Amino acid sequence: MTKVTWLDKLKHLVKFELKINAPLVDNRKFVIINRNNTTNELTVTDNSEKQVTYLNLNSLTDTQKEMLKPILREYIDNENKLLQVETAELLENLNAYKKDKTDQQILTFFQGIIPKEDFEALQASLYLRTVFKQGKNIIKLKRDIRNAFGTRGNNIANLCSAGYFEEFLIPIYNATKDNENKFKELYELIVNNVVLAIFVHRDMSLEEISSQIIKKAEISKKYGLGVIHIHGIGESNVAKIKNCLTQKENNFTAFLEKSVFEKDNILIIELILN
Amino acid sequence: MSSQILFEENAKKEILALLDKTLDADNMIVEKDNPLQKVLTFDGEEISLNELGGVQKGSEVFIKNNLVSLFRLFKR
Repeated sequence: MTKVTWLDKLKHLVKFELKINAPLVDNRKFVIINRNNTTNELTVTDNSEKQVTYLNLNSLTDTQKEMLKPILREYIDNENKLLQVETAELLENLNAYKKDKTDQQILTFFQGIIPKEDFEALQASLYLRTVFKQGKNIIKLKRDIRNAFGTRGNNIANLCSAGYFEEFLIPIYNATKDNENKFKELYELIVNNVVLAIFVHRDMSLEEISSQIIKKAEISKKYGLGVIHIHGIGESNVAKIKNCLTQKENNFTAFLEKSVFEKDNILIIELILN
Repeated sequence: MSSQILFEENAKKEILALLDKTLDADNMIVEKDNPLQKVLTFDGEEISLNELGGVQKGSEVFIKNNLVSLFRLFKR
């Protein structure tokens, strides 16, 4: 005898209880449960292009909701994840990203070298960087990293996005291989105090940018790093950096401007010690 | 690909009710028949309505809609 599955029960609920003409649930990849207050009359709508059936809880009676309960329970018990739409999308994107193995080399390098929590933050930050390069919105992803790992996680996300892990930390590790403590010390300075970089954001004043440049220049000199970078994304941040370097020029005599990268409202200025 | 059931943000509370869960005064997800018992994620964290991303098997394990949590979910 054929086993009656959760999908069969859901089809039965739709067809016989909700009196919706089947095969709405047949051959659909997704059944999306929502609560649409504006369409009380419509219980199920069908989007055949997306292969989605929408089930509006707002128009289900209490009895019909009780019938839905064991269906959801069975769905979960059969090793299925009952996910929110956005979570399912993120999980699918993460799956594709992991299969692609784009950043595997960097992760392999840093595994065991940096603290476990930093490694997790780096892993998430590398994904964030991939999404950013695709031109997609990263606000929530960045907030997720900050919520999980605090300011340090935020620093790792910024440094990772700007390429510091490959461009600076790998060479620093290779140059200090014989002295593990030296790498740890420099790593802490770079990740915790962000001595190599200033990430200009909308709330920073010209004075704050200027004082950070001077402060980081001193630390950079003390530890023999000899370089700092100023990063700005967006028209106003880019303009602010340029204004700061012009108006506060006399504050930066210890540095020579080495190179400027500017494209699509992204500005990176590298300053090396004079 | 087999069929999947998903839910939208606006149906979160109803989904919890269908799973016999409710919210406490702090908006944390708890058992309906024992409101002192908070539900947990796969890594043992309590979870609020805002954070809810889904549910999976394992004596009913909750999933946060959060990049870091989902990375951790992959490792399991």
